[in-house]
Amino acid sequence: MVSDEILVRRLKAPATREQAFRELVSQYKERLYWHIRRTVIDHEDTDDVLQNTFIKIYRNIDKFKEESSLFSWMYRIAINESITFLNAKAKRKGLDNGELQESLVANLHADTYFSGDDVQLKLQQAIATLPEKQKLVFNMKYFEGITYEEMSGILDTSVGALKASYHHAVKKIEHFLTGD
Amino acid sequence: MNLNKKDNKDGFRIPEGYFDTLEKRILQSVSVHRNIPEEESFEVPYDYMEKLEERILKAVKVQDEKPSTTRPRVFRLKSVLYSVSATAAALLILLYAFPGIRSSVSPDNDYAMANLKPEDVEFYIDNHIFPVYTEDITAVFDSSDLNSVSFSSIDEDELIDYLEENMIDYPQIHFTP
Repeated sequence: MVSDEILVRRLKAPATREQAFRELVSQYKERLYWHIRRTVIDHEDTDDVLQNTFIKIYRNIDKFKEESSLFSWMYRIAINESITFLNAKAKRKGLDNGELQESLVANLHADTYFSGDDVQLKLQQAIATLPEKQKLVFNMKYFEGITYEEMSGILDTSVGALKASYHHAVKKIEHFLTGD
Repeated sequence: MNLNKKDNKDGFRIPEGYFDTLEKRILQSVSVHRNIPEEESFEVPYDYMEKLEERILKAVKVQDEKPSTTRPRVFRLKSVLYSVSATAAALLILLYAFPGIRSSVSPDNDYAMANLKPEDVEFYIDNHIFPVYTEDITAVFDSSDLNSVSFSSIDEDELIDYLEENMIDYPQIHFTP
């Protein structure tokens, strides 16, 4: 795997940009896909957001100042693209964000690309009830295994605050699942 | 009372067997995996990941190679002004909300700020500062702080539209013209 530093240098040089971008997509497509998918739920929507994310990365690579890791920077773009997409979708449907989340999860019953059982469906329902930031932190920690330190760089939030968000999210999900 | 006595007795007691079961109970309470399934069961279409690279590269190429004449950027002066005003308002809120950013903007940098394009400022806000949540703003401002910020040069309807479109968790705040 090529180091980020070398990859960024090649991405910024016109002669090597295309090949470097191909390697970048290959290296990060799955991680970004799954993060976006957990946020926007639907596969087709994920595909749109993922493409927009990579287009934005390609167009703005010259603005990447290397103050954070390349992955953090790309991740932040993916998060913002996902949130912008959901806000626009909610507005288009005349729903607020909570109502949109409910409808997205309700549609999972009929989704060809969701094979979860009742427990997994209930987990998605539980996640959908979380405030935006807690949902983000929960998904990043629980499913994507991102460390608090790395998350802190991506979300510009202290490790302590992230731990608190995760703790609250877990409690709410457990409460939802067990009905305690 | 002699506080220097070696055999201090504080009178506290613990239930019998407390330390024997402590470790198990702590491990149970910190185990967040107890009741939450580890699988999500989202799937992707067959071959999706294999073909993804080519599709993204094609999409990027199409966007990149479009001559400027085929995608004319038609700006209405009014909407440009509104867009700049709304971005400036968002920037103002962020500067107030995050003192760290404010301290990095020195008077020496004023000329550089003036030269920034609105789209560059928007990209910076979008991707360098994580979305501002309602709870972040309410943690920093009270209503008197917000009253002291002058928005008089910005059209109120346009500002409300901008904020409603871009705020996260906006249902908690009601913007009224």
